[in-house]
Amino acid sequence: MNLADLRSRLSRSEKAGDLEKLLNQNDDGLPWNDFVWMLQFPAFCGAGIVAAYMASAARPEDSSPPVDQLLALAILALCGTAMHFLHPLFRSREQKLQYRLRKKGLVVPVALVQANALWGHVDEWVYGNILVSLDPDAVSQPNLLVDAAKNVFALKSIDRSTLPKDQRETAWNLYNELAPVRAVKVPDSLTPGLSKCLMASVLLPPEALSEGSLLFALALPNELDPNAIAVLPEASLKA
Amino acid sequence: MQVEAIEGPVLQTVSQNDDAAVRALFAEQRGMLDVVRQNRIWQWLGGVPSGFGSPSVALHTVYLDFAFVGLLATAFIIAGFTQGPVLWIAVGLVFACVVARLMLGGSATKKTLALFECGVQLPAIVLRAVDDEDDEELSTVAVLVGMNVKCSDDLRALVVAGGHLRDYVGGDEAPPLDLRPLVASIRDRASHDGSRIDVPSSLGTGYEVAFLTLNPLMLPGEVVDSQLVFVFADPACRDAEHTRVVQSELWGHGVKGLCDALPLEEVA
Repeated sequence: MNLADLRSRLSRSEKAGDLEKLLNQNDDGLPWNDFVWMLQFPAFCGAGIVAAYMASAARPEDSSPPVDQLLALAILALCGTAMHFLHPLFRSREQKLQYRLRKKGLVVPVALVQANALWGHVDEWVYGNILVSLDPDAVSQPNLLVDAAKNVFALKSIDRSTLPKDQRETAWNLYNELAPVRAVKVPDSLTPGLSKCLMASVLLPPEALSEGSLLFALALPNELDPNAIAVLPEASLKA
Repeated sequence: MQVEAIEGPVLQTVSQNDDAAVRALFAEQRGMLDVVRQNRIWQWLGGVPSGFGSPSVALHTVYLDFAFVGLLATAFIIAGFTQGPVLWIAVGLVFACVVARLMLGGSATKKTLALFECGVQLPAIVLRAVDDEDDEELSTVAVLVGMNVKCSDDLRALVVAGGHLRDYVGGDEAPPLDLRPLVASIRDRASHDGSRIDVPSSLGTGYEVAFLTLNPLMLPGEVVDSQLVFVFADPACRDAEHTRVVQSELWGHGVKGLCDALPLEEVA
């Protein structure tokens, strides 16, 4: 898989406005930034009506245009302009992170640690845990990542009191199965040959983009938020 | 974060006689609630707002959001035609929407979050369960809640006390004098609003009866077939909506075996 080529395909898809749908990035709340962006049209429409009214009511004997209508025109034009440029400020924290992910996320290989039992059986996105590594060796030696994911999954059935301290949080995260939660740093002792690995809980697409045992995801480095990682669906190749 | 949960064992099946497993289960439940709170994944507890007037409150706030957007757009257009009283009425309506939204949604959200922040999971024994009159998918239940159950002895005592009270409510045994008002109130209860009432100490200390409406799909067996359920409650407040049942995934691993070991016979 050519990751650079895939990233440029995704960038094109983002420019066309398709990537958000492709990644199933739905926010539970109302899309206030879209509402604000749409409200610029009635504001400019109102400004246009004022301007048209002023033009039609103007008489040669008038010494100056009416101040109140000029003021209304200015306020409406200002509102419309502000809504046009400032609507991104109305994105929720999750939407901002998802937007950053689509724009600047790196395409990385990931290995599946565990998934909801329905994954692959229903045409829906379901939660699962993945192992993510930004280590270049994860690309050149994919088996390292797959083996590391097996090591991590093995923690689930081990009494956590018997585990080394640095592995307990990873094991607890895997065991409680709650999602979506912040990613946890996986100790290097579980990921031989790889460094800086994270275990993230993410939504898995019904048909994920895969190559052998590896899946692929968009990820923002140094971010643990669940919205900072998105597993790519197979349809990404057609983007 | 609950250290005891992070360092806990892997629970497969919990027996009510296994003190270590019962304690580990309770620690696991506290740990899971910590994870929910730290990640603010309130959907596991029913979402925000829930109860306190919801779902109608949640629906009304959405209506008000759309009304706000619609009225603001209308006000912009009106401003093109007139800057007189009609515009001010439209602007007034926009502000009225904002105020109503804050008053309506804010209160339910605040109360829901306050409950989610302080609520704990408590074991409870089903005393009476009937299908809800208004919605056949829901069940109304009365449960005996153990407010201070910490170990397997406490849990077994709760099961025994719940069994006695269930027999009194079902008419299998005549209740003692001091329990008659309680038994009558459980039998005659019309509103199952998530409130709790006190229990006379002759039945045991630290017990309360809660009246709930629940969706059986949230239970481990997806039907009310076990005496044991876990309720999510604010121990300091017995008012309506302050006791409810949350998804059984939050009850901990191995809880299905514990529930199956305490089957419920016909109690309606």
